[in-house]
Amino acid sequence: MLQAVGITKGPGETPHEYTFISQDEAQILKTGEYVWYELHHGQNQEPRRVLGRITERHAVQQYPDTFLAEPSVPPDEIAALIGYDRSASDLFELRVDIMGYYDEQLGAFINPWIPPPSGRAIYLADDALLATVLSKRKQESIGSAHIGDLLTRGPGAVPIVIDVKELVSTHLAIIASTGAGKSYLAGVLIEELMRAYNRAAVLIIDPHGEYGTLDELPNHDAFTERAANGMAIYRPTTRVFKHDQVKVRLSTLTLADLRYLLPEMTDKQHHLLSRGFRRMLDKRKGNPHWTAQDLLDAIKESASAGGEGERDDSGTIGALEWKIEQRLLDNEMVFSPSHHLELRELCKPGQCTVLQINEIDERDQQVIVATTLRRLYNARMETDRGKVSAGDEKHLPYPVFILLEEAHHFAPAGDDAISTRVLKTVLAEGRKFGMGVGLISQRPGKLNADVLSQCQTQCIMRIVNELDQHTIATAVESVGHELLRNLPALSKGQVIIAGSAVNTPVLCRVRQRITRHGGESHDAPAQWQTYFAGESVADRLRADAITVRNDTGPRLYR
Amino acid sequence: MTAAIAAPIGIIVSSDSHIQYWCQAYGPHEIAVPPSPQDYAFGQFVQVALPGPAAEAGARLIGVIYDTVLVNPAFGSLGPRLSTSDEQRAVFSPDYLTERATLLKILALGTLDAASNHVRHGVPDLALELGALVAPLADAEVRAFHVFADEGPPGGDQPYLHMGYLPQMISERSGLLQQAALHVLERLRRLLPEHQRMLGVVQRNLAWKLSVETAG
Repeated sequence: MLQAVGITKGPGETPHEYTFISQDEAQILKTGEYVWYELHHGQNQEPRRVLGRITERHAVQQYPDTFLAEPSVPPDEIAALIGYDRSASDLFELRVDIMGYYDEQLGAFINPWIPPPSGRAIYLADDALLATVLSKRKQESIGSAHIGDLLTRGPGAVPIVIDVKELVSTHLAIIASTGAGKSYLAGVLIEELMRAYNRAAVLIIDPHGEYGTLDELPNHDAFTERAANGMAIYRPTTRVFKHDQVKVRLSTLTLADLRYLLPEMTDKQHHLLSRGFRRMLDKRKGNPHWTAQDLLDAIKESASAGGEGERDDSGTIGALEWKIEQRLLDNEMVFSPSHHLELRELCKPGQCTVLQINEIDERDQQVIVATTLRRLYNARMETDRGKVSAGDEKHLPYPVFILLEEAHHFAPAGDDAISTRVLKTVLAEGRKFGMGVGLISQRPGKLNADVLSQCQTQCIMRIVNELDQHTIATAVESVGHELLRNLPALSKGQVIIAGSAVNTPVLCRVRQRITRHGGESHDAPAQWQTYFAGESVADRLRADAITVRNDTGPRLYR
Repeated sequence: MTAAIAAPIGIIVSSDSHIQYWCQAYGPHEIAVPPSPQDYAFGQFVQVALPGPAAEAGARLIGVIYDTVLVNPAFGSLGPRLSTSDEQRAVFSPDYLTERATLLKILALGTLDAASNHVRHGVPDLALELGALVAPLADAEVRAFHVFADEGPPGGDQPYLHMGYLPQMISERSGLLQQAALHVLERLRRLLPEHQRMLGVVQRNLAWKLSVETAG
């Protein structure tokens, strides 16, 4: 038998809200909790359950302040003294945002466009109902990612499962302050993408080297699918490329990339560079692999062959030469004339690739991201259009998902970084070619607003900074303002998931990771303590000691 | 609650409503031992037998004195009269004295059934009869009327302090009733020291309302 928890009072401020009254003695009607009422719409039709989310709760009847004056005298005893039934002292008015009734065929909530009449019974949505309607996918079905469970219910009661198909076609943003658990959440997401029911091709751009622990994936049984005879049918692989292995082949650089890499150039230098660059490409038709020296030669040639002999460009050329040498020739760690990571090495289904680009200059990092994204995008586009065939360097016959940590470095607000343009293209057009991007940032205020608003699924964790909150409110349309008010109150590991990968915005408790988490902060006091641990002290004394040789052999003195 | 009913202080002579009664205090010569003014002081608890079979079973109405009015028919008769001294009047026309009276206003607070040990606060079901005897309530009975266990929820089976009549007293328009409530609280604090703190909270709240908020 269903037990009503309250009775509707009337419509709220907007047509999609209503209020109801409840004593809520069991304290179950939390903010963010889901309730429903029955909608009768037609004589022969089954009544529908119209779900809504509680957005506000305030007391309409509570003890007067004067009853609360003496801490040693409970107010309900005073109430009992004057003959009031102490078991039912509080009365609450709760505001509910109507989500609608769930249409299984459409897989979406349909708003009834009318608030319930006064006096209608309100019921708390049970776990089974929520598990069906909140998530688009069933747990562990193909294309599902089990991120955690509903925050207002007990652990494991209502799993929150997001739709990987939507994630890859309409992109994702994970936004949180430092320490709120964004890398942990990203880890959970990657684990889900690498499970046998997804087998995704995932590329992680990791400017801090936090994702190294994902190399545990292949050895973990949870990710392996076995046949009846115990043979492994599927086992994910992890490839971690350290910063010295991440190379950009010079021939993948465009003129815009070069201009970005060579900052503070004069107009004349720009002119000479573009002429030289075009000349070099014209000369090397059929063999696009050029070196920095080729570029330098082409610049010199084009300057002298340009019919501008009467002008003395030697100073400008010298300066340009110096910049190119310093940026490209002397920076062999990043730029190489012949090598770069092959796309088929970088992305393949069932493989999680981590590009650790720490210890690389920020501008170089941006160029690495820009060239990598551009190569992937072009490859996906050309493969999709049938322009390239198997064996071609640009052949990439499967969708890819790229996770970009510290996204505000690669698409900064107000600053035109080279990677921003590529990212914008990928975010706008990636859907057509099966290229999804997940942006992770701790400073949404510093992230390009266009880029953020292109991510149709948002995972927002604790954010205290008001500027960041404001950015989210303006850039993220799917999350209501009342839900965003909870942002500073979220604890570590709690996340608001909204957008196209879920049926409705949900407050979620992130599940435990299967693999180890690599992004934990250092325990400074513990590390200082070990400095004075017995062995460390002895080792240091030995290292600092001066060796004095005398007749009896070597002796150590402090 | 088997204590005998104390000597009466007067009888019910009229009423203003179902819960507000007029009691005429016994004057000199009306009974063998007339009550002293302390017996019908302001804020004094009183008991009156309920009519019908309930009275035989020991059911009583418990009330509180919240006003005293002195009636003197001769007041305002300033016309010419024979000069007769009070002493002479007492000898030659003894019934003249009875026309002077002390009237007490009583508010019904609840009922107390001595036989079944049942106490109820609030408006009683039955009204009093004219001529019913009014007697003061002894300290033990005051305690019994206030500290008892509820028969069912909410209070459980443990006795606790009740003042279920207090909202009625405070909400009445008569300022004297509110002052009487303060007197009652003060008296209960002396009588029930174990409930000193809780009564203190209620008394302070009421005093704040009656004195500070009224004067402010």
